[in-house]
Amino acid sequence: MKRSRTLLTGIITLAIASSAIGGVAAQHDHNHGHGTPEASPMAEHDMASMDLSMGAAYFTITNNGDEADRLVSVTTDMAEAVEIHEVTMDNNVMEMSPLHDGLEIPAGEEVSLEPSGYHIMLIGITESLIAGEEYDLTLTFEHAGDVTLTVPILRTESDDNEGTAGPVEAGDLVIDGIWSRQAPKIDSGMGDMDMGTPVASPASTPQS
Amino acid sequence: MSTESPVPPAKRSSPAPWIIGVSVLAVIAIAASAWWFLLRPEPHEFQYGSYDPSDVAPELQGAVDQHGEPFSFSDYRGKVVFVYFGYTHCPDACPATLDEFMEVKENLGDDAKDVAFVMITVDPSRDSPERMTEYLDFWDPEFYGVSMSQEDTESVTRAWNIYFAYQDKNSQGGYLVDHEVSSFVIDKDGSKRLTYPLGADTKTMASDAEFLLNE
Repeated sequence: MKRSRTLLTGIITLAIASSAIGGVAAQHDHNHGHGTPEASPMAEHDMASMDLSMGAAYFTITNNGDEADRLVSVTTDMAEAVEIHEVTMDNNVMEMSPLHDGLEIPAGEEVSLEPSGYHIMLIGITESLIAGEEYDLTLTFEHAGDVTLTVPILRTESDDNEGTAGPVEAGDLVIDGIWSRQAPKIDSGMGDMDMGTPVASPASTPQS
Repeated sequence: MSTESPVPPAKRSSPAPWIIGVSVLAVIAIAASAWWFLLRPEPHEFQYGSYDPSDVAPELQGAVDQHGEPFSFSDYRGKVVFVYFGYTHCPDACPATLDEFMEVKENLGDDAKDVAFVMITVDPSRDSPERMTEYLDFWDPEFYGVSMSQEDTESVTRAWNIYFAYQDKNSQGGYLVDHEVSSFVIDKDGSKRLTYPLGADTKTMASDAEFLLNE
């Protein structure tokens, strides 16, 4: 009992130490200052992102062919834009990056898009993604061409692919375990602001 | 020793009952220890990360909930509080965590009335209280969506050792926010007690909360 407590204390100390390092990194990494509108993270081109609501779709792609294929783009009527994102996790810190060159599906391999991994990011969903409903998503592959998936919206990730759609074949590719997570389309926010004036965000309110 | 001197010699010559008494006590002590260490029911074990109960949860600064009402952890003494640092433009981890909080709340049943679920935005520039209202209404209007000024957000997250960083990666969704995706639990006394990685078992989270409520 004492040993396990010592072990636990050790683990906690490690966790605190490592998160403290993260905290220090946060201070250095923040590319903005403290509470001034000029130094807020809001770059001008980001103004357009203010009102956007996001969604995510997941599936696995198996390449049964002899050559690699590449998921180059994704489109849907459900969103203003779609990107393929990679997620990396480092010490419980999640980092997302758009894959501007698409996602390679190596020959004979399976690539999973799943929570905390790759995902299809729906940018600016046009309506809320409601569990129980579904929408169409068109994938464009370099070799296999276009394939349209019907994506069921689920409330949460299931352990046994329950409720997911597929398999769908496209040339040598098989797409399975297709689903999207529920997400709200947010209508309010900053949309009613005069976009020509400086951003009236919490960051720009007077600091005490 | 001085108290023993008036004891009659007759009693001193037969110390057996005293020795028997001590022996019996010793046996009871050993048996009790054995029971305590070997046979007692397992105490509640936290399966994920736990902190020293004296580790006070850093207080928020100038925080408002999604309705614009002041929000501080000190108003929730006597309750158990789940805390998550996220942002509403987050497509993956934040919805997943709120889905988890929904499940925890369902698992808690009636005890849920003594448990608060709080999402603190690390992106106050984009997450107005109005936006937080709509976002959280989608999951549960009883969840709290808390925002602070940029400066206070940075100060509070530093106190919590929460990492976040804004990244312009040329996404059409605007800048992305690298952020800590663990959630935390504050106990009835205001101490930071538990932490869960994304994807933790929601039944375990609920039973941990029940344990903390009954402490």
